[in-house]
Amino acid sequence: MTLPEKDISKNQTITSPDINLEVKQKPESLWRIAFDKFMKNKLAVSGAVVLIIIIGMAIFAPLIAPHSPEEQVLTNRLAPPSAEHPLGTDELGRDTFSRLLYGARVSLTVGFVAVAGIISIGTIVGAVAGYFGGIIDSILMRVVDVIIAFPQIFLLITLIAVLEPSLGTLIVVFALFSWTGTARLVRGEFLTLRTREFVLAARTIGIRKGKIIFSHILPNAIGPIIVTATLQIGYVILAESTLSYLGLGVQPPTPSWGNMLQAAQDFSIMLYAWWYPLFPGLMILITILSFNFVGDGLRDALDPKRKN
Amino acid sequence: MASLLNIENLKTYFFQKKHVVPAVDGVDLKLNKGETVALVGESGSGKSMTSLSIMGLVPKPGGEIVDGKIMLEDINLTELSEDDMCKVRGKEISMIFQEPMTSLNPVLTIGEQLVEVITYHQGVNRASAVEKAIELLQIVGFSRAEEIIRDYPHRLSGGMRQRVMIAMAMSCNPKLLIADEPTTALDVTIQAQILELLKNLTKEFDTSILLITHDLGVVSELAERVIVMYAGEIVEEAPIDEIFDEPYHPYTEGLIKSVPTLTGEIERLYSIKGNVPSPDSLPKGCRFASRCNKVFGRCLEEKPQLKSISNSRSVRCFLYDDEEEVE
Repeated sequence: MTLPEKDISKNQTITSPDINLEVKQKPESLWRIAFDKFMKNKLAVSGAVVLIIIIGMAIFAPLIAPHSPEEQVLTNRLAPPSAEHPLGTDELGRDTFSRLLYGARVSLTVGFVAVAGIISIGTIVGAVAGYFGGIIDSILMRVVDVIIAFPQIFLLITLIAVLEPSLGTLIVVFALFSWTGTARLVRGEFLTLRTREFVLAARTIGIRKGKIIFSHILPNAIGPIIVTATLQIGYVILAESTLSYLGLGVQPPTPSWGNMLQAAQDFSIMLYAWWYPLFPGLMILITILSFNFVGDGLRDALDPKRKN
Repeated sequence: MASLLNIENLKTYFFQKKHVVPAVDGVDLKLNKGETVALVGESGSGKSMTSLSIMGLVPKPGGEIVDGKIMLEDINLTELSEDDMCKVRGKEISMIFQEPMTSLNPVLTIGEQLVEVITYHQGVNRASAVEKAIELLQIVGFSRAEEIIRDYPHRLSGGMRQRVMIAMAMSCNPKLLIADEPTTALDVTIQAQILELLKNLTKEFDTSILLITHDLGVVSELAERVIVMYAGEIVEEAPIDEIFDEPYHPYTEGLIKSVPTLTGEIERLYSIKGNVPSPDSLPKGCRFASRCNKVFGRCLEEKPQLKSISNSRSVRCFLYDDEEEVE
């Protein structure tokens, strides 16, 4: 483009030192705004802090745990909390605190990996269905309907009973059968967003479909997606616990919060060793609650339209 | 002057379950290099569909260009593949819209949106695209371009956003700019500024403008030639300095009379009675007949053709049939 001579010289002499600076600073300032907004939300911040503690404890479990999670002291079964066993011991005399730490690794891994899968599949299917509409939309949504038609937990139980129950199987099964809600949500967002004028405007400047879908429309839908992702993590951790509780998830002796609860379901244990079912249950509750708080906070923070 | 855009017998129809809606029905339009032509008409007259047909963005499913040629210099746009069309959009032809408030992506910064177009069409790296974006913003009148580039659209006013849209549309120095009611959503003082900006830019870059509007004030400000559309057809074509003084078609006359004036005696404002006929139930005669105050027998029976009256003027009305024969 040809510019008036005067403008070029003025522009270059005055602003060129700033331009490089600007390129480097830009992404930072964008995240800065989101970060500041997030920090103002007390509930979200406390949720994040709790999550960081839990994740940190899971990562550093070998350093923190006072005992090996598999070390059995059969003479010291169902011991109440004490200095040596801060959260007591289980029916085989294993340290509950250590087992909770290692169990967090399993539960969080299942949560994060499965949700990454759920969100990827759900977003791609939903985005394609919502943007293109018509026959493509109909076909994809009928597939979603078919999957939704099966009662989820029974489907999981059946599949895991047929396949070998293991951590990998759990993750794959969760990812393959839980993306339908996300797909519907993303489709709904895309249906309203694709008719917005900025999409037409992007098309008039020659931007291709793939780019419009993923770099123009998707960022507008990122808020709801993040919120479902955090809710999904909670759901997956809970589902993993449920399956482990039923003996179909993570197999002992590998500890997970779910199979610890399962081991504690004996009536006499519940009656006389309250610490054994209490702490795994509490961990599940706190973790899921924290994920939900963080999700809410992120949604508000990442939406540039929402003013503080 | 060399011709830039040449539309011949363009027909864009919408196929619905029971009937076919001819939104654009045989439009011929010529646009020379550097010329500004206004396409005027009521809502539903097919002017926006004409522009979307040029861009190859007729809403699908349903809409389709069924006939006609759209020649941009030597290329027939209707025959291009979607991929090739993507290269034309933004580079050769670009467009600005009525609603600057919603035409910018709310979650991307002004800079990101500008830089994307520049890197995509010109193949330059990011740093020089940012530099270019700042220059563009300065050209369209931002004094704090370095700050604006990092702002999100919601922080700008309507007029500022329209300037950004113009910067984006002009970023690759297109040959043709389609301005779809560029000032309708802006207040009067901003309207004047935006029109002034468009005028200067097109002069500087030698860009042609196809101005789509129903605002005759904007037309007289910017355009050199006026094309009046009614129910998917062109009803009159005339140079700007003639059409206001001597409109031929009764519809054009009605349009001009319905603009309120500040001078002269204050009377009740003229309005053309009735509405544009629904495109799925068009009369067999003249499409304007039911609202025309000069209607006569032939109008209801026969469909008038677009007749040239002189070099620069043509009209679709039986009132001028005799005159032409006399000449």
